[in-house]
Amino acid sequence: MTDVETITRAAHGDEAAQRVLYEAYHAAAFRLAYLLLQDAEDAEEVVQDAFVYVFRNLHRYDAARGPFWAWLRVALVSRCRNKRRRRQLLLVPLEVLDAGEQAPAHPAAASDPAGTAELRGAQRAVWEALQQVSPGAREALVLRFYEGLSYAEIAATLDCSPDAARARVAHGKVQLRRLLVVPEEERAYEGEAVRTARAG
Amino acid sequence: MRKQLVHPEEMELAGWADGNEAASGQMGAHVRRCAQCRSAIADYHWLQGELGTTLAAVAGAVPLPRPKWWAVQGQLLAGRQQAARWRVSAVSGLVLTMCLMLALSPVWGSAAAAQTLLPQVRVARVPVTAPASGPVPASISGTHPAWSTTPTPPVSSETVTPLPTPALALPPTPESNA
Repeated sequence: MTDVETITRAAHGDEAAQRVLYEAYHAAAFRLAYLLLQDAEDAEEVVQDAFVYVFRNLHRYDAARGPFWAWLRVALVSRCRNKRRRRQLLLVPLEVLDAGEQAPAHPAAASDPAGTAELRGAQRAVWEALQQVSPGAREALVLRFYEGLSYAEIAATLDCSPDAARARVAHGKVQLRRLLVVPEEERAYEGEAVRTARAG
Repeated sequence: MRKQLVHPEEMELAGWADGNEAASGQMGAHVRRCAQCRSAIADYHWLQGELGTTLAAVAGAVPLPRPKWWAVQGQLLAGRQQAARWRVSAVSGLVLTMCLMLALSPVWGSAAAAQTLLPQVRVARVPVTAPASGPVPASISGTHPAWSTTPTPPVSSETVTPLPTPALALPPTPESNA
């Protein structure tokens, strides 16, 4: 049975076809959700919600507009974003919100050893630095350098313009470079050189 | 006067490394001259490579949970049952609303009123003439519920002499003064 036939049958409520789709895409969905959330439990929950949404709305899927995985990915990324926001609201103390300060990173993400046990030095540093990058930029980096999407595809997934997608990726890389590559004194010197050049 | 090098923004250098060459002409000339910017672009190239391998390594290393199809199936079934319950509630509410509207509407009200005015059995008054036989029934009124009617006494077959009609008393004719 081809993918299109399976999807057609699943759209008509065929549970066997739905199960086939679920088991075929479950692993890829979980991995992507894990990279976006850095938490296995949250990723599993989000994957389940995304599949429930997709199967309830499968009649809206149009194969001419793109592959099934692209459609599922949009639902998955959206739910990851909602999950992250809810998680942030639960963890941020009221005093921090009142003061308008930036919410701290999710503690579980930093301590979750599931994805870092087998990483070598540089990869571990990149993974830990990625958790400190802003959520929007991190989404764009994962879609660009893990999923290999073009800027147009990232824009379609994140519901923004291609220029905004490009800016998010660039912003994420700038943040990573500052965390990983540029030492403190060079950052200060670099900023000063730019300011002097512009003033002159 | 020595010209100061105007470095591009960090975002532009990051984009350059990813193939965004929007201002390639001017920026390209600067990058060729500026070791610092070339170093930054090299950093971004390295970062992109490391990012790709790191994300792939993390995704490959994370333990995959077993697919819980039963959980998804349960949520789909619960959703369908909930939708059915909503439909039943909506239809019931609509029917109830329509019944209430009909009960309170003038059309229904007048129909209901007409229902109460359906022919009731009226007992005829006892004739003025003396009854031919039998005593006059005691309880006679204009309207009686059907279950409390008294039988109409039979009309006598004998010829009855009508009572004389009293003369009409006319006022006196006023005298004319003409």
